Amino acid sequence: MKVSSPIGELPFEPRKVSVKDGGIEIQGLMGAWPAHVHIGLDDLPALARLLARPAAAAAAAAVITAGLTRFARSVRPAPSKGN
Amino acid sequence: MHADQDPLAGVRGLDSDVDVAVVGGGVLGTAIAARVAATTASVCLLEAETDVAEGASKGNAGVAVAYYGPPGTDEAALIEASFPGWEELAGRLSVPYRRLGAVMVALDDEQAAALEHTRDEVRACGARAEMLTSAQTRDLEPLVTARCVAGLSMPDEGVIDPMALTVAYAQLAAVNGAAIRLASPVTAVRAEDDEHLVLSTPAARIRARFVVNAAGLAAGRVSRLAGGEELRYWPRKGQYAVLDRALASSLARIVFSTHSATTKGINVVPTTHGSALLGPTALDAGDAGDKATDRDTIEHVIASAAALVPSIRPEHVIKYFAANRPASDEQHRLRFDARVPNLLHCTNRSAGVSVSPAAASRVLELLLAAGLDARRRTGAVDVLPPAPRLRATAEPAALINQDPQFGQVVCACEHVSAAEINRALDGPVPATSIDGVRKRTGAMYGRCQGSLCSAGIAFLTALRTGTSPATVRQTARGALGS
Amino acid sequence: MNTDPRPVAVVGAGPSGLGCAIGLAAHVPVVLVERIPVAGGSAGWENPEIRGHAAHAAGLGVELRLGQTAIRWSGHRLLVAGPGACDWVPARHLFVAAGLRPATAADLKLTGDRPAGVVPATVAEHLLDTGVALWRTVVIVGDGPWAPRVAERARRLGARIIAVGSDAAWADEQLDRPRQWRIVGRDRVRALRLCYEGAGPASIDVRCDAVVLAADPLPNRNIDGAVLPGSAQVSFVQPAAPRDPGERFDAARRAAGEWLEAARKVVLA
Repeated sequence: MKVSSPIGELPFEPRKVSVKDGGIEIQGLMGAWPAHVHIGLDDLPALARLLARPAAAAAAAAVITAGLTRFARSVRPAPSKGN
Repeated sequence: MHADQDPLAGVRGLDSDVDVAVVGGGVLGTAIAARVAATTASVCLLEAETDVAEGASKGNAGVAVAYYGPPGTDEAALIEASFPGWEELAGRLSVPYRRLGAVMVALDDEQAAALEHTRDEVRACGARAEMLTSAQTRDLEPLVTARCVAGLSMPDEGVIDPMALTVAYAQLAAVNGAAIRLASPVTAVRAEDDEHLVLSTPAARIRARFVVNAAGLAAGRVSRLAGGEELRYWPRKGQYAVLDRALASSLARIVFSTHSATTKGINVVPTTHGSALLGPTALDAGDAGDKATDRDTIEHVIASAAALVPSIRPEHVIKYFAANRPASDEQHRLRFDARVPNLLHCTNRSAGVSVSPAAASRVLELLLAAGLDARRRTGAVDVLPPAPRLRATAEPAALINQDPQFGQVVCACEHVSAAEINRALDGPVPATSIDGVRKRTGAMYGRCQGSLCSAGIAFLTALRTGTSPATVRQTARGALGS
Repeated sequence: MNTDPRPVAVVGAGPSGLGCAIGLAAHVPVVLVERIPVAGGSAGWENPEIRGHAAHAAGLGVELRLGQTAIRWSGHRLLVAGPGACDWVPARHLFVAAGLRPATAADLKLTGDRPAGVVPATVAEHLLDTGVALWRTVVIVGDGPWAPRVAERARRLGARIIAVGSDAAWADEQLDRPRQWRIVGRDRVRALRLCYEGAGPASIDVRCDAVVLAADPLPNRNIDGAVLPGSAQVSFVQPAAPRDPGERFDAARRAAGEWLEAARKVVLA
């Protein structure tokens, strides 16, 4: 995964997905630096508005479902933290 | 083409076979490597630390002098040959330099008399010098004390960023094919035959036709390992205080103390970043690894500086540091060893920056005279890509237009942009530590000393070096985590 | 005041900056510049009051320039740089609400070696936020607002905390602030050496593998021309106290109100 930011393009490698605090938490690494993405229930309306057209919504749902299924099969447990 | 591509190297149990191995990645070693790399000779630079410019080249006031001592010495000749060319060299290497000029300040009649003698010496060294009255001195530098009785104008003196200069020399060497080996202290030297030395480092063995010993404080050890002369180098510690740019940016000139018989005294030196350095002291200590500052000495530095520039007060100081310079019985040494004919020493106690351009050329001349087979290489690069800085540009809007990341300010105190940080982490001699980013960009050098930006810089450094918050290097020798 | 169409510039969108902006916005145009891409400052961007204030400011017509850094104040103009853009914003007055930073080693007259492992508290907070255990024994110097947060995070990651110079409920051990102090350690910090006056040993070496500087909060000043007290047409709203975001907001709003009053009187005089 890539995130583009004003300080450049940053890599994001997801390592673990969990349900947390009323949303999805994706824990990952930017390089070797821990980072996480949190998608909460409050984010859904905004995301839904972006997918206002039914055809786009259906296509997005299909892609996300297929992707998450593939991802869930391939994901390994996150490495233990700390030194 | 890389220097260490001799097909037989592996056969002989070697990792590299070069014409010239330079030991020491300070300002002299890197200048020499750059000079040789522009010829057809192959060159390898060996630096013990994980970055260039970790010794005296990191901890000095950054004065590119036109005068440093009596005329007639080899050092004086090299300074005279170097000082007129700084604008041109700094321009080619995209290194910050300002020919500010200096005033040397006399605080009593005895010092005023000494100044007249200094004027004569400066002129005999080929540089300009004029005696000044107290009023004239304060015209040139309004912040000089009213207690000044006389002054000496030295318009040829300038200030440079010594770390940026060292990195630039190393980059120039690298783009011209020099192999830069960091974390490579020389642990053994063996003569293979009359004409070759084999150097051992932890990771590699390098065979060289000539070895240049530019190892500063370690030069004595290198000579001994090579079976050369018993050269003694000992650390001369200099402590410095850094002055906030809010006061320092008002300085128009370098302000020198009058040299006494024993010491050059504490100076007030504006830097190319807009701050100023107060110092140095000089204490011959026993231990090259001791770079500690202490309260009494720092208070003395500030008080001495305030004697020259009374507006300086302790609350204007944003940082203290100390560095050891390589003192030796020969203040400047640039000659072949008496015992080992292909070992060439090149060290300087205090004026490494100032002699570096001419010293590098002289080293090449000596190597050629001793049989080095080298000609000017067609296609050799002698200009580095421009390295603009947001803070220094006259046209910030145009710069940001050219690359949006020049507008992303990362170091808020020093206005260092993401473009500059990323440039420091990139290229042929990249920063591999947070302090390495500081040395190349000036980030974290301001009054907050990294409290706003160094988390971000740690992150960028970690990304680029594949390290984590615990393992990213804070300094050349230590990680952020334990 | 109606005669001067130029806005007032406020730098910093934390509690103080938002307080200034909202205090001013009903009477004068306001430009609010914040170097982080989201408002919040010391209170954090997720703080619900902050979100409310930011929305309120926008509602009052405050021009929000988030993710842009003010770098120079000169001739009634503020130079603001952002990724891809840079311009001079004319302003009749500048409020600097750029927050506080920990005292540096030089501010604390802390001499000695300069090894790895000595960090400002603001940096320690960010690093520990990643959840990586960095250190085993942390000396936290001072009682700035960052100190308890750093201690809590470090503790949670298994570190022992020694507080120097604060009445720390959050530390495992506590020592008074000494007369003099030094960092000891060449490549990595080994100890903080404390020198006290009077009876007792000449100095105490507090062994540690990290020293976090969290003492004596000082104002952030990084706008050229708006650094020194008395800078022309600049008001600094960076008090060391109070610490509560709500109180800081209120204090800043009052400060803005006082400036408006004084400016009105100048016009009428």
